[in-house]
Amino acid sequence: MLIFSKKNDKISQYFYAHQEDVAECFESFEEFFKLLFSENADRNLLESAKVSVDNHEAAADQELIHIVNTMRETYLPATRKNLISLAQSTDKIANKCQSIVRKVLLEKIQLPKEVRPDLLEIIAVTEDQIRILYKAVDKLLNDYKGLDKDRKILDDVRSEESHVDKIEAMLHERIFEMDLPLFEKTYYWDVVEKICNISDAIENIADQIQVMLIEREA
Amino acid sequence: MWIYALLAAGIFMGWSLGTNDAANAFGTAVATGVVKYRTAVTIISILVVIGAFIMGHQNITEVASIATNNEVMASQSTVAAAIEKGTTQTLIWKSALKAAIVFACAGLTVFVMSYLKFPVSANQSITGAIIGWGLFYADYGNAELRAQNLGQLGKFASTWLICPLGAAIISFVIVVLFNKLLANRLSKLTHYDLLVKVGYLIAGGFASFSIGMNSSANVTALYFDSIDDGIRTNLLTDARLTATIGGIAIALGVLTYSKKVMMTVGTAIAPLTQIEGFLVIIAMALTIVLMGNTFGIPVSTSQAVVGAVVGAGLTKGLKVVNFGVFKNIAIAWVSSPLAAGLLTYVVALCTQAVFR
Repeated sequence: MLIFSKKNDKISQYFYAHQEDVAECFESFEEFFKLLFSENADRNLLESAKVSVDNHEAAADQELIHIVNTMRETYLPATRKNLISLAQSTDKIANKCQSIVRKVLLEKIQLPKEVRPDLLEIIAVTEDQIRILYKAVDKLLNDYKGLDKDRKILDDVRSEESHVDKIEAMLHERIFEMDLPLFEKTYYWDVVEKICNISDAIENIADQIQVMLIEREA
Repeated sequence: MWIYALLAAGIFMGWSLGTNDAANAFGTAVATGVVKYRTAVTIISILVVIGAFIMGHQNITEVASIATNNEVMASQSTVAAAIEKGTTQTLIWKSALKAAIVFACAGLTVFVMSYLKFPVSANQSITGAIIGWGLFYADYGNAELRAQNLGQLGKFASTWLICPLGAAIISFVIVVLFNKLLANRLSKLTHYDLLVKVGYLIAGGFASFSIGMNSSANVTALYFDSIDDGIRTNLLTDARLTATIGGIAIALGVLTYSKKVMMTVGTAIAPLTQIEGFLVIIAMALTIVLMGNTFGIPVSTSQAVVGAVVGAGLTKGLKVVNFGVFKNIAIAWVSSPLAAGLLTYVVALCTQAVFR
């Protein structure tokens, strides 16, 4: 019994460590875009921001492996499956950040000045969304009955996604109104869409949590 | 040696019982994802064999009385006559053959029910088959026989009606009380999972042990020489070995073909949460103890577990319970001993040249 409890505590630690790595990965991702949009964007600084994203992503992967390996003989099989899936979905946030940063750096993408402030706002809102999501995960692990009764926190995650959606729609319109060749507009739009997808992924995690709650109430 | 081949029918009966009764112990646990199917069947199998080996032999004479009155097992006078005539070898053959017919008919009925995913009482099918044999061969002028067989029919009716009703009420009360008093205290996911997991393992393990203890003897008892006169007049003479063979046969059924009925109990009647699934097993056990042991009302674990699932479902409203499935299960309860009896009667009719 004690082993069961200790193992669960260990999993919680790995869970929080994984979340922290993903959050730091996203902070580096935000830092990268701030640097990219600054007046004197330095290639070396951008490279070091990219390395930071890579490092946090790799650390998150390691924590995910720990979670999966420690999950044996703990929780119920259904809970294990749900929690692993939750950690994997959270890990995808870091993967997405890494993939976007690599693309932007390798392809030397310079987004038009007109879209930069909105893009930074999308990133800031997404960062808030991550924090709210983490609160929901913490409640799920430590006060799941409380979360079950008051699911407002999950709605908050979704409302942040709606916020991102609105800015995204605006940006979409703005990019396609610009006096640029169509391929260039499509190219910029692709980058914006990839950044907005992070918010969608976070909303999906909130949905996963809701499904967990529903499964338990049958 | 060839006579031991007739044990195959008893093993088939045990196998069929295992395919059906495993659901009573871990059906809700597997269906709600608390225990993996493989883990569940391994636990049940081990505990069934242990239950059969340790305590199964204590129940071996229970079936003997009704089987003797219905001419399935040899009475003391028949045995005495065979000794006098020097035909004990023939008696052994005939006893084993009768046991094989009864078990084959009852086993086939239970297997069909498992195939159709209906949880039924395998023990009732065995009794139904014994009465079916008696209807053809036994002397119904015998008041004791009439009283005994009518008593069995009364027991059937009780388990079909009173047992599931009682289990439903007990389960309803337990789930409501749990939701009001305890549910909110289980706020940590770890504590919730721990309670459900440990609770299930204890309750399901105990239920598995009970299956081995109570049912193992039933599936092989008709091969057992229950008359302690020093002369062998049936296939098996060691009570513990008889029960253990039954236990192993049940375990084989659990290991190979028990998922269908488990899923009916765990998902088809009413959707259950993990904790409700656990409370259903507690309600089933309480029904057996309160109604069966305390008030002496005939009970069946198969019927108790179905009633308990209905009771747990009703806490969330009438619409939550699939009464269509429940109706079909109730029909299966009535029809399985009837079908076993009818089938045995037909076989008795066809083989009268051997036994008259």
